[in-house]
Amino acid sequence: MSLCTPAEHSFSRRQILGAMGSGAACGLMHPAIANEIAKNNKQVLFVWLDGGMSQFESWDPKPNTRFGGPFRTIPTALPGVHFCELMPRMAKLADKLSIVRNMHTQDNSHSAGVPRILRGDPANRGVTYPYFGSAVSKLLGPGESGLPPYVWIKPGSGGFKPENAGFLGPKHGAIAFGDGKPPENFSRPETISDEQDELRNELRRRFSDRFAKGRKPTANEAQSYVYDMARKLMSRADLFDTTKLPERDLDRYGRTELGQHMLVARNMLEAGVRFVQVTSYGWDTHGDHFNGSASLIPKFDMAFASILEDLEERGMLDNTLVIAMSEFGRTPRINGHHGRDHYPEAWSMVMAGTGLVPGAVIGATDAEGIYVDAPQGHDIGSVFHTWYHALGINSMKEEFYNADQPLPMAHHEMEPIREVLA
Amino acid sequence: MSEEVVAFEPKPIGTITPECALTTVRYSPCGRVLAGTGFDQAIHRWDLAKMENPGDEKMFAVPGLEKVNGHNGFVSGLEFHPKREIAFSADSWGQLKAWPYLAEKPEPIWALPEAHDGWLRDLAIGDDGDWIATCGRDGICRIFSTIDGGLLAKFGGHDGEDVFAIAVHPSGKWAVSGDLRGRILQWEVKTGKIVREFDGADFHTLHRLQDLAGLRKLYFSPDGNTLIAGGSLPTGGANFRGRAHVRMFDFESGKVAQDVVIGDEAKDVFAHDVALHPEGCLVACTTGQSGSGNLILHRPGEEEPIFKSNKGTINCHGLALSPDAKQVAVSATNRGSNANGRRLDKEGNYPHNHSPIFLFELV
Repeated sequence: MSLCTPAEHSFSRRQILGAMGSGAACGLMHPAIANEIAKNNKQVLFVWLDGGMSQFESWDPKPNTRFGGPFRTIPTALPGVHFCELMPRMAKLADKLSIVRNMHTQDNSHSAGVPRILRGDPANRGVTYPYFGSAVSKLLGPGESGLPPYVWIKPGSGGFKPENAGFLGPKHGAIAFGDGKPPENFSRPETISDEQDELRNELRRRFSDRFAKGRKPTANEAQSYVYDMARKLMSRADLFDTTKLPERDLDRYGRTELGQHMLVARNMLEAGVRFVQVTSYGWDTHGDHFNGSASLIPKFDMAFASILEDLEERGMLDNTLVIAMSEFGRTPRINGHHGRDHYPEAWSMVMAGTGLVPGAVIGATDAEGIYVDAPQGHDIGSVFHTWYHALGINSMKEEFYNADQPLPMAHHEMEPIREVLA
Repeated sequence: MSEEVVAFEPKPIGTITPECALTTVRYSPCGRVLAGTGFDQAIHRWDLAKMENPGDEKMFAVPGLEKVNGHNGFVSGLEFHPKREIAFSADSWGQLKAWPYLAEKPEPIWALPEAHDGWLRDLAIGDDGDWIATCGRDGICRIFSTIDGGLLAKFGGHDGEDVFAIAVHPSGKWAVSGDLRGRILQWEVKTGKIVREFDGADFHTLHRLQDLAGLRKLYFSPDGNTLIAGGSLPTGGANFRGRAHVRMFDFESGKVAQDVVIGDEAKDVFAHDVALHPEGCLVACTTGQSGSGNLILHRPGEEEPIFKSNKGTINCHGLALSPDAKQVAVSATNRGSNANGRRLDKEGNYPHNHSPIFLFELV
């Protein structure tokens, strides 16, 4: 059950400006507003399919058309709505989803497209906008769990990613757990006692304080913040341990990299982490796309459907915003390597959970999936507004502050997708 | 295979330009019909008996016959009955059907809309033409009567893994099928009993989340002494990376007779289709990154191909030897087949790709 409605968190620009003191720090809204927003216990699960999942082989199939590909479609829990046959479990959960089928974004390259999407592609104001995770970290804070507010579970290496935070400052970067594992040397050696540990920390604090003198506070704050978060995490090694979970869970999520990482994400959300991103790499299927999809998408289907089911079963879907998307979709045209290339012009993404209308299907593409139904479709700026509103943050009125510079939270010429907001 | 292997020099006859992309091409046993299976749910046919001006690139022409419709998704396979004027075609929605390939407007003799649950990947006809073997994404191999489409037998030895390729030994006694994980199984057609497994594990690898299936084609030499596995030894996922590869097994011993790394190392990823010329020369076509793709003739036992051409033959997915083995047809891909974003053509239309079919005379 949602503890508060978006309307309860609505503040006007005038209110915010009036409340701002001249010493407003980087990225801060007025503390009263920030505190109010932080009271809500919203969480976010952000599933990122890096490289570009095909809308044809997932949410928006076009069977038996020129570009439709080899797969059949299956009916979903929403009458008249079909998914690709590669997603049988998500098809049964379609009535929990809000499906946007007319995404139309601006960049067809990975290198520029990924940060543009993840930062919401706002108008250029000479600053680097935060990733959505960093923004949520800033706006909602760590909550009562005290755990890091922005966690990223990903294949490969981990570490702290301050660059995600943009003008909000490095403190709001992501803490990445490579391969879903805790950092190396995570646990305190048994040979060090509590007393010794406290002495070591006191020494560290003194060094940090000395280092901070005469320097800008943000870097040092971030370092201390991350250290404190790491110490908090050290008491929660259980979050990374999926070996003790029931066999049934391992089977349901799939004994795959993504299944494993989604289980860690479930642990993190259950523990109260504010924003959990799960990334799966390897979706850039320029070659042998259909066999690639036949392998990748059912594994996503298992893992994503399982965590949705579990969040709902635990009553967490009422407070958790769930998102699954890529930086773009894939071309209708099938290339000579039997692949699909990058296609930002008409693609799909899905959301579920707090603040959203379940079972909404927004927009459409034409019969062959080449064009969206309206010239502009929905750009990522519009989606960012939607996410903020779903979390109870009125991004049309509230603003970020970069020093004294007010900045819109998302693209100032765009609006949330009203049809999808509860 | 014969010990004396003839070196061929393919000589261009002409190019047929269908309007859609094809998955494969095949000659009818009588040599009159060339047919290609399309992404457009149809089988495209050409009347080779009415070919005009062979060898003249500009004046060359082959009249098309009416398309055979009624399939779904991709038309994924095509075989001809060795004696009767019947073709068998399969699609990615699991349909298998038989139709008279010389008819002006072919109507199905029989059709099985759900011969497989989903993608029917490959089919191979038994030596006497009485039955046809199929395999698919549902992990099952099946034997159907060519007379009425009746199910004669099933083989589930792949434990539910996606079965990509199937071939029937010329004796008709055995079938060989290969799956996603590179398991190449020989089994008895009558009983479904597994006889042995060939070494194909390196046709598969797991890259992060993606199972990379490299096996694309299984093929028996006409004398049944050699089993050929064509495809890719995968190295990386997403944009499938790997090395185009043909593995030749001595069928009697089951041992690898030769591994042939094929095509351009930097570009060619799959040996997508293979055949063996009666004179012993391996014929293969390759696909890969943009602009790659070759028609390759390779003499077994040698390291280098005796012929390799990328001229026009970009990303070739299908090849066929004519019944007299004097011609080879290769279905390729038009230039500029890939592009990010919505690039429109000069008329403002969103383009689609097609598969020019290159005909060569084997001199």
